[in-house]
Amino acid sequence: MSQPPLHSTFDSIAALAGAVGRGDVDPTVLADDAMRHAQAGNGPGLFADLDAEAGNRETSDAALAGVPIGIEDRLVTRRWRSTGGSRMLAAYQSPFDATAVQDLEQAGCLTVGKLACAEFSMDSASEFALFEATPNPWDAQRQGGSGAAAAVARRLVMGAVGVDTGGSLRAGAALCGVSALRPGQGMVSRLGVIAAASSMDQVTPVARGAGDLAALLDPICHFDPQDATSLEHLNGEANRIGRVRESWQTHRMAQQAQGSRPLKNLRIGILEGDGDGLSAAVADSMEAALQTLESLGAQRVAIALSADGQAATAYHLIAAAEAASNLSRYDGVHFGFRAGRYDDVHDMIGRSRAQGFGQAIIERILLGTRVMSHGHYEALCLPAQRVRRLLAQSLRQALSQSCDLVLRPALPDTAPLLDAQTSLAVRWARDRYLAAASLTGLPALCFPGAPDPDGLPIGMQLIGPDLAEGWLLAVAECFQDVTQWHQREPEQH
Amino acid sequence: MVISEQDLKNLAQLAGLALAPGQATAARAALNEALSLAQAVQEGVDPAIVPMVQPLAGQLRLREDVARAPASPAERDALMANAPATAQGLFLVPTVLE
Amino acid sequence: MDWEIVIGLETHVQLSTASKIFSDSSTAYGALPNTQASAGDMALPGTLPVMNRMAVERAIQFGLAVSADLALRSVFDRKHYFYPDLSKNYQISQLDHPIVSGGSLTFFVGETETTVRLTRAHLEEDAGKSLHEHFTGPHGESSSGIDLNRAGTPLLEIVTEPEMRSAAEAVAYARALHGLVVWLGICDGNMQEGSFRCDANVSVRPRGQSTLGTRTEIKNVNSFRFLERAILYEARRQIELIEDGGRVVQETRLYDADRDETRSMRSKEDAHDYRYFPDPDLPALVITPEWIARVRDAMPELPARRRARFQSALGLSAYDAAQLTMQRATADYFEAVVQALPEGQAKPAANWVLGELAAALNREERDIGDSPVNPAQLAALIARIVDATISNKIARDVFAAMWEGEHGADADAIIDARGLRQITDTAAIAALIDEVLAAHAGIVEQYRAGRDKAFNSLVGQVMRAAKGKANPQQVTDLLRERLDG
Repeated sequence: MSQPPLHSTFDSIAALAGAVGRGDVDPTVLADDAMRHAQAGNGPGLFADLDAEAGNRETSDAALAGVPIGIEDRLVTRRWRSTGGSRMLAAYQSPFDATAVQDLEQAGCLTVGKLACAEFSMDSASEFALFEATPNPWDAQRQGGSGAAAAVARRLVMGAVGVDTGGSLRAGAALCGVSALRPGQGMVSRLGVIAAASSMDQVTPVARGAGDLAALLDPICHFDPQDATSLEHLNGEANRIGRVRESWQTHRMAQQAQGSRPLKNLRIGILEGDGDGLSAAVADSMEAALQTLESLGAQRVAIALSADGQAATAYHLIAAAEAASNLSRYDGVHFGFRAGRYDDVHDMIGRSRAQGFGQAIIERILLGTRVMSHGHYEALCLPAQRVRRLLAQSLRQALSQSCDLVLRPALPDTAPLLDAQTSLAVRWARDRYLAAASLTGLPALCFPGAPDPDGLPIGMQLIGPDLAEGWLLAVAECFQDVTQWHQREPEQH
Repeated sequence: MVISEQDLKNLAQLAGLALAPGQATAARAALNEALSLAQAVQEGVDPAIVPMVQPLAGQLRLREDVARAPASPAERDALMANAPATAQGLFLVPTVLE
Repeated sequence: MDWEIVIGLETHVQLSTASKIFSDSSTAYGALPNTQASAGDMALPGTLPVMNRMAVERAIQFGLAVSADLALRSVFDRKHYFYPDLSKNYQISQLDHPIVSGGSLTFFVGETETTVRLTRAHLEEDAGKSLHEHFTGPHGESSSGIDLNRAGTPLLEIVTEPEMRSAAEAVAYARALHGLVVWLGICDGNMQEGSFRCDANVSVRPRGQSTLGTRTEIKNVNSFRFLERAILYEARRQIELIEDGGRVVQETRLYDADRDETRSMRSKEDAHDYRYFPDPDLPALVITPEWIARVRDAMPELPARRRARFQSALGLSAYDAAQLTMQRATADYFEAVVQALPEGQAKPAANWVLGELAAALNREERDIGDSPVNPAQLAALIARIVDATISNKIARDVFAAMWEGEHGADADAIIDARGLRQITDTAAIAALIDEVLAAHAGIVEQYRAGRDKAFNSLVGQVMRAAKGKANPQQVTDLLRERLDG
């Protein structure tokens, strides 16, 4: 296809939705065009399921009417298979839609299809279990990390929603040069999320820029009584549709009121230890981003956190335990993959699980089983949960007293090669900046900074206090007002 | 090595995993590596600190005790559509011996 | 060797709620397979638990009724094991922070009043059911069918301290607990339908030894009779085993009613490592003192209180009071009878409710709610004994007729129709006595010779001559006068 998709000719979701609302563009035409481009542009590790006839074709005057999006396969949908990236669920058809999916459809979005992911978003980015590993849109020999992030980067959809457990979507956004906002815990319903780690799974939108993220996040950010961990209020504020949008707009207006120094008085916390082990390119990009923010009026503040050095390890232990528990239900009895041969029921369960799960998940389950097991729980799980408390207290305290937002890299380096063989230690260590938001339940926004000399994207990560989604969006948007990194497009193949 | 072959066997059984020999060997190596990395967390954390299960725990909300109407056989079959084996509205498994 | 048997009971009580503990599926018994199993009950990907208020309220009611401690904050944990009727392969239960701790139950074992302390009671979800009819699986393998209708039904697991020392005591406890939960309305008590299931932990030790022996668990005994037999068998088995030089293995056993023996369960894995872990999908359950107070105010008069009232206000014995308060329906029936009688007739009322009425109900396996004789009717019968219209013995015949529905169970009508009025006319009785004395001179001789038994024989003769209708006290008095006077 020589022409770019029709939707990509709009600068933003808001612009497209406005055009649809005014009648300047026919959403059916948009939809057909989006479908054709998605099918033509589909490749390994991108769409898991695409169905040209499916999709919400109702023309409506809803706020996001006609906006083409993708839904990561970790969210269940009635109209497409929902695999969670696992052979276990390769043919699974959900009888209900995730709440977030319903919200976006009600908002008028057109779902183009389901997007590929690692198995329960937890296996290696170099080798997915069910799908082919997503190649990086900027360099097909390198990891893209997430089908959702890659599809947005390739302009196959305007936005996507997926599930960030330990940072998979934030990492994907950083690798692919797009933006992702992991909301605070309890803000978006987990009903319909194929659970990996219940206390850390967060529905996360991915899009090209902060404005688009706001458009996708606001409709899904609300209390859901069907999720017992969904918050009705937090610190006196109601968790309702409109909260994020209003907060974002308020912060934007405050920025505008400050003229040429919109981020005046914004204290950006920097962790001294974050510099260790960063590649030179990432360090340079971080510094450039900081200087840009400072030029907008912000000031950097050095902060220190308790237990941050143990965060990645604590994350992996807790995530393994919770995942081992949540994945117990996959046994070939009521749904999902069942082995072809077996002797008795326990043999059937054992073989179905051993064959249906990929090796990385099997190892994760075994680790989690060990962490939870009698005699080891005190020695493995509880210390990790203590690290969690220390970090949660310390980060919230820093954000309330020492700084307003914290800026960290998303990843220590740019996209590794797809076939890179790395040790467990290296893989765990790559999560060291991402683990804090997962463990503490604070909102975190990843956005592109200056790429490396070869043009490979580099992502920055802003972490805010509770309820700061709108604030994060405003600050990122302010950055994006004066930079163009978020507008870069990979060359079309 | 903290995890012996027998340890791995026991864990696999607890986890409901009938591993092929290759899977077991690789898993044992990975598990040992993970547990050695875990030491970083095990050491030097004050045991007086209360472990945190949820960063933002609310209270458990309670739902009113109202039952939905039973499913019709057709609705039931639709919910069971993903089941590998069914008969007469039941999930089938190899006979369970008490 | 003098052996002591040590028993603790764990009872799973299905709570009376319309919907399940963590889903809104109905809990009604007897539905078509899997029509009361939601996506969440099937553990489909993406489903989450939502807590049922009424299950919590039932637990609070129970805790108050046994004077236990109610935890203002309790936690749900996941208990992991693989079984096809447990769709998530973990059960949501409570481990370290149960909603109810402590408490006790007081009841009678025979004539002895006993108190058993409870360790705890906690909320959890029930599993589904396996049906072992012969199905054929996709590869021709013999298969079982799983029905998840029951999966997710709210359970209260009630655990006693290992304080019981005999099968009789354990069964008495179980009956008392059964009576209490039905009394409170928190469980329908239907053991056939699995609403009330007892597991017994049994061990033995030489009398005087302070440490406990190894215990076995006998699971899922669904009748009181089988519970008693199972415990007796198991205790004997353990004692014989030890005396033969063997060792009791800690294991789970099932009771086989046909053979009257317990059998080791074929265990899938003896490693009972359930990997308990606080459920990250459920925040802590918080209950307020205000809620507890509201529940307390709305509770019916508890059996213990009613029992005490029957003793103090109505002068009943502790034993009778306990028997009458085993079931709320019985206590209600009894009080209705008392209220329809003149003051001071509680004892005869108790005797009739616990005696003739209970016997007739048991014979026909009826509940007191199904009695063909209602409290007013029974009171009317008792009133006729009190006013000496009929004797106790005749009254039993009248009761039998009432039970069969004669004359609409109206005592007076039956008495009149059958001419059963007691003869109280002194002259008439005197005449009968004269007849008897004349006809049985031999027995009179024996009496005069000092044989007291002969007196009773003469009384019997007079009663027979009166066709049972003479007032026995009058007969005795008049006969005594005639003979001695």
